[in-house]
Amino acid sequence: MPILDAKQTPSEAWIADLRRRFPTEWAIDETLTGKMRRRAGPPHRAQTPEQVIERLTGFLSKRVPGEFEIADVRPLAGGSSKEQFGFSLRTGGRDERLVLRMRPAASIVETHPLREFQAMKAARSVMPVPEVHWCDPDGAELGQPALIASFCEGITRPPSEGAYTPRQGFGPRYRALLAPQFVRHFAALATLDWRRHDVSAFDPPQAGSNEGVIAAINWWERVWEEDSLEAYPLMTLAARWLRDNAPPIDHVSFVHRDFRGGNFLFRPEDGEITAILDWELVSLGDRHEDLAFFLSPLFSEKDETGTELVGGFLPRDEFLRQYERLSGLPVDPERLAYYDVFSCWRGAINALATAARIMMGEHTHQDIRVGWISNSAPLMLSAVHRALKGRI
Amino acid sequence: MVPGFALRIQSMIRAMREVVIPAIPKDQRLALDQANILVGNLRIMAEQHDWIVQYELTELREYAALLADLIAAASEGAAEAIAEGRAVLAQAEPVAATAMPTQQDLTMLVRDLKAAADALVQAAHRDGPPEFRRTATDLVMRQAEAQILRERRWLRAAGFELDPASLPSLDELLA
Repeated sequence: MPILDAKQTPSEAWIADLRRRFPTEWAIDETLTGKMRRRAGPPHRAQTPEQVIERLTGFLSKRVPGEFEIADVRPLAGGSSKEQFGFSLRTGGRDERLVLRMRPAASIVETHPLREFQAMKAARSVMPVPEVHWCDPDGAELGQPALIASFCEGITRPPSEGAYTPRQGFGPRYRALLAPQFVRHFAALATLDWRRHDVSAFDPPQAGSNEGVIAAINWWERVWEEDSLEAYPLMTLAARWLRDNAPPIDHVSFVHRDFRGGNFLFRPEDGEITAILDWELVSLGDRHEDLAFFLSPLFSEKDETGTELVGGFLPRDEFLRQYERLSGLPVDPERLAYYDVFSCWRGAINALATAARIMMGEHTHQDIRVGWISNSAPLMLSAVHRALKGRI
Repeated sequence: MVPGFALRIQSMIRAMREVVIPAIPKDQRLALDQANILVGNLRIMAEQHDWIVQYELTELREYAALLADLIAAASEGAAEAIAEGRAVLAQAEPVAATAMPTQQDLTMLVRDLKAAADALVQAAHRDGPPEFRRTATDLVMRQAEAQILRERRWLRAAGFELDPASLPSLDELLA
């Protein structure tokens, strides 16, 4: 039997204490508080296609004018956090393929669907992103917090066998086709003018201040406190160092937090990127966080000559040179080094603490997958250690 | 060690029961039969894995007692077998006398040690003198290096390492 601890049945007093000690953005506070209140609940049971049709019918009847039919409901593979179904919406002779993304009882990343919804709407103005149609942020109508988006054709990696790894193995042909598009979209995210869009689910940080960075540290340190099964003094040191050294944000951008191979779709015929996916962790913050996470050794691959390629695409210096040229924004080595610690620390929290915690209560349909992801924790911790060495 | 075997096995059983087995067509009898046997084996492993060392120790003590009794009862004609038996007993007796904690007791003790060390690191950085902070930081960085290397090797088979052959052997790391 797995060893259960007091964190598995959180008291209201403990939840209140966590909220007091780790003040963060309103939507994150709401999300994490909800997570803790659901924790002692029953295991998650995936919905059947019939249940999905019933809920969708009720939801869409208030939003789709005239008669419609929901058909061809199928669970989708891929993704480690959200429960996803593809379905066809038939209206007046028109047939549109859509995706329903729902939050299970617990997830390896606990997020607010309205943030994802708003960021996807905004990002679609500068890069290929699935069109988002509706959002049920608290699950009042769909039973679980959810959003509905257009289905996009494409694959995430060339077909291969074996268990999931964060390396995509694009190979020389796809690498040549994908890398220029990928860097262009990466740069576009940093320069997107988010002030022209609805960002009411975010507390935008101030440029020139580190308050937004401290709020982000509070978010993730709270998750560590809530989810970790055992202490890890290196994580404590890293959190302390991050607080003591938080730099002001020079330019506030959308930060995707998982911008890498595996999180976009491309057409196998011509390598065209058709959709950037997985916006659930999105924040407003410092672009260096996205850069540092992408540059992590976890996503590096070696090419046919043994040269290390960041994200499986390009040598590090080449990637950064292209990014600076396309974004028109500088890459500050000091900030990059700071976010190298931050992003690996944050990744280690997901892999080491949250993955095991949600497996414990059978609160996700993806127990086995998040358990597999937890195998990446030592590499994340190794990156934290490497990044801290000589700095702390 | 997070997640431990209990959690991993629990998730494997659930994936088989709720996703894989329902997806196997009913006429695929061999696949269904083997999938159900796989679940059965996982259930056995879930029950046994905490107790493997205790099981072996129990057998060791039982056979050591049997061997000792047989030696005591043996006639002179069995001199060679008696000598061999005594040699094995000499190896086994210190091990048989070892008090071995259960896997869960060991896990809980390690967790307590980690929590106590972590509390000291927090105290050092909250209101400790600079030299304690410095020393605590250096000690944690040194210990973490060894722990991370061990964890990376322990999970090497997952395929996340870029250069897995460069990691030391478990023999070296767990000696």
